[in-house]
Amino acid sequence: MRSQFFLCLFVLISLAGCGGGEESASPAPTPGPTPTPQPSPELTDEQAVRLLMQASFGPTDASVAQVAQSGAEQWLIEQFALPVTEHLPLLDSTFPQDEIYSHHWVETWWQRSVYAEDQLRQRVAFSLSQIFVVSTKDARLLVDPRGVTSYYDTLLNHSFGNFRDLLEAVTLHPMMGMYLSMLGNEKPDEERNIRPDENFAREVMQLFTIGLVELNQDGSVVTDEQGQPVATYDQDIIKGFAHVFTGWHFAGRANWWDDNYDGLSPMQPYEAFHDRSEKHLLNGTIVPARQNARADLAMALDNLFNHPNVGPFIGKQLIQRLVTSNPSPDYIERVAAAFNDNGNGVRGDMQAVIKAILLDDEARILDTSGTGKLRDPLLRIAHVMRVFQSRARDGGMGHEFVSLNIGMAPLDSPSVFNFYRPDYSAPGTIREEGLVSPEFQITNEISITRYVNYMFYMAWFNNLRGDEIIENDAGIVNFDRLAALSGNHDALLDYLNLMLLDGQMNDTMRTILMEALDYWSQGDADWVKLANVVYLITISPQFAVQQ
Amino acid sequence: MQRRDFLKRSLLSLGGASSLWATTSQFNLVNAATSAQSFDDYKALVCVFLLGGNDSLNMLIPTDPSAYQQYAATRQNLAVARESALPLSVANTQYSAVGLHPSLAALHTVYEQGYMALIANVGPMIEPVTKADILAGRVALPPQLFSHSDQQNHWQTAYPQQAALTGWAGRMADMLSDTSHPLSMNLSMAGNNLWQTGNQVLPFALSSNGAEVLEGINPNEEWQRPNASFLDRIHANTEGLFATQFASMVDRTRSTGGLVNDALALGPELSTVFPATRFAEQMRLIAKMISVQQHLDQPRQMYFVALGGWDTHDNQLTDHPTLLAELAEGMAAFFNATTELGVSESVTAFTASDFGRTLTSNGDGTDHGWGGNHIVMGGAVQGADIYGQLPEMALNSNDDLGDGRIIPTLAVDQYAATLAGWFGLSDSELTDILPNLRNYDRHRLGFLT
Repeated sequence: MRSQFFLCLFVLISLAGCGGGEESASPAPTPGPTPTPQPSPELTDEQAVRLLMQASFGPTDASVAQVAQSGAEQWLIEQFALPVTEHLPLLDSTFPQDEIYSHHWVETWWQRSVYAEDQLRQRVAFSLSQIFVVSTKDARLLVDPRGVTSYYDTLLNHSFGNFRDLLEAVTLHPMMGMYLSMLGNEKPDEERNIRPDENFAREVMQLFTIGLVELNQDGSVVTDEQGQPVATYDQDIIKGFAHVFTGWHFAGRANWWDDNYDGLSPMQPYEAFHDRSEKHLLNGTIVPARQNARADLAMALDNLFNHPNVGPFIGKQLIQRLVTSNPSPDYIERVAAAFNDNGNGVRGDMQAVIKAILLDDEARILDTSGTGKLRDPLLRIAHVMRVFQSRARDGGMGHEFVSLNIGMAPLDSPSVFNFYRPDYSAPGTIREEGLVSPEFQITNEISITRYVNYMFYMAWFNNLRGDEIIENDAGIVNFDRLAALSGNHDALLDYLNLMLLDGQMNDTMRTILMEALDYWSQGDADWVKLANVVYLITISPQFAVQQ
Repeated sequence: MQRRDFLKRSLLSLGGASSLWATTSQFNLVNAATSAQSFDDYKALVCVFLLGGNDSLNMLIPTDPSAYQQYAATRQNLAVARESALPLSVANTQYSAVGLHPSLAALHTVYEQGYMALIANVGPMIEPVTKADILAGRVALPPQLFSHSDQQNHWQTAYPQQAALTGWAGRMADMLSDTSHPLSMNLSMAGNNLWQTGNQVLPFALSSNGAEVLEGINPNEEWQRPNASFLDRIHANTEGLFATQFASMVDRTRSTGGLVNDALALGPELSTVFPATRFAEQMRLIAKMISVQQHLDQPRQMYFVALGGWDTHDNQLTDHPTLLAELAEGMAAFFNATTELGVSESVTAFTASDFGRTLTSNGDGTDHGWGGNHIVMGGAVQGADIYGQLPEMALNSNDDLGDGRIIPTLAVDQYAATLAGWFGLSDSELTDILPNLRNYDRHRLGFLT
């Protein structure tokens, strides 16, 4: 991206004189290209794109055809069956092990997120990475990109499994161990005024499982006689969990004080540092004294997993990440019910939860209430990359420094509270309506400017410009598909409307974009008009907000 | 000022509302009646928020031999060596022997010059509390004590009894802003934040370069104007709550970014050297913004800076001194810059943080506590002094709720009221902005004139 910046300066200079002709009348509409005949598709192309915006990193020509053909439920089943496309093997095979830096993890994330076949799993794991947060803002994680990548693989591997297993895998991953300091957490030592670290104990409850207050199954808050929310836990319960989470360190140490570092294997118990006293957990559960670290951990995670809050608490956040910021209470309740019982008496089945979220009427039928969700900048960029099959000539993606340019990158949030909170409500009409809008928390003058500029660079770095783009490491969007439609503005807008806007472009917007196409058609190379219209669409509110 | 007070009081009494939690329309009336023109001087507040909870009880070290022994016994391996503590002159005679953490050396100079004060044991509270009151369940406590998000919200809203929607700087700006001014008086180096969010006023986000320049729809570039106009029309055609909100934020960015950068271009070169840290670069930009405030026509400004990394559950012995040095060097350079600009008496910077931390250790770090010490700096500060009661640095004392979670003796509300009062709010306005202030006898702590 740094090299791109300089090239863009050059582009800006060379473009300074282009455009500027008088406006001409719009050409008569012509029919779009005939779609490849398929036996009775289950969904329209627009419906397929809608699902792909929620359940993948964005549509491609091939995936739209596939989803339209299979229908929503069948496509989910096919996606569940695909093998996991892990990230660490790619990281290891691409970069020499002693020269792996954090941006190589980001590069790997782009490669997989944009091109992996198991799109649903990749998208769900990305959502989970915004709930079970670890961050390369932590210096120790920053210098272990392999460990961070392995953490993401852990999320991928458990995305379609059981929540209880996911919770345990996350708990014991050394990246989480370091990030929330369960790793190295030792039993009390009164002489040294040492008591167990409460960091993980607190956040595993507040953020990863049950939240601060008791919830009804529809996500609403349980209140007492005075109308006050009922807290789920107090300081004593935090202490109970903090004592449970003692005695864990990097795997493979001869003893606690050994210096073996293992950022990939699950943490291992060292019993001499595990507290063996009795511990009080949620709902009156008591962990008996003299148990070992693993037995304590199993009881504590069961205790969290079986709390009735988990379904609505986690279910609502997954809905917010995939579908809409403001699901109805009924929708949350349906998803929570799927979490509580997958139909075969199993609690925590992630496939059942994902199906409940994505096959619900509120997900499948267009939300015309005008809310939906603001998509975060990474999702918007990934969408553009997938539609236009973006790659650098050197085989990389060209977007590994995205964090410098838009201030957001995978597993790089400022704190364990993610980039934005699920209950953030943007001041103004959204707040007055009593709605939440999490992604607006990172929408401000700086982030907007950087995003708009990022889209400018992306659209300008298109393959139609050939040798004008000299950097081999610059991400280049492929406009061949657009160039083929270039002579027919109606067909061109049909295609962009489908692939970028889910068919939601209204007549007025279409008229405006038609004028833009005409304006930028005059005397300039074809790519100029295509870049401008893609730029205008991708910075539009219609693209940013998923209805 | 008097006119504004009068108008506001009468408007509020007309509405029968005793506080500013009233209706939006009342806010609008108040705003219409007040304008930036009522100020004939300039003042800026700078909030330095230490995200994660600063172990601020370790910023001050008792150096009297017996007190030090108690401190060292409590803090064990986290104790700062007595001989390394920087001796403080303290006007408050009850503190004869207190030293500053050596990593705060850059601020030690400012303190000794009389331009910095330390405020002892401040924390989120609803009403004054004692340990006995808490144990007996006789007092209202803020919800979710010791939780990051809730206590950050409390510091920023000063009103935990309601949903965290507006901050006290946001409510102040609602009261003081000239609504016709295109640029928010709340300027943030850390993007959106609760402290600066009001019912009308939103923070304007800056980077350490100022406002950033839009590419592709920049009206200063002739060839980009058509796209700017196409986007205008797309925005005018935008429907739906989220989409229109997004469009309005993009438009705000477009309309005000140039204003800020044009003003910044008129500023003097600063000769004060700032350290090469991200925090110091942000403080430098604030100094530059202050230097051009007359071009922006903003007689009152509030700035928000956030410095992260203070949640020292582990590696505290390495991490905390580094953070304190970064804080001290950035703040001291900022003070020197305001002196260079001749505006130091008009600018007050202060720290805020989620909570103080436990006196006890978890091996190599500390956990979430409650009360903590804070820094206030500026030419108007009655400095070289410690305000309030330093807590006893011992376990199981009357200050200790358990594990060295220190019960605050001053409320965020009192701390905020002292700052807001200096900024120009009247006594009644202070209780409007800070509703829980009524629960305390002392509304202003005296560290600002």
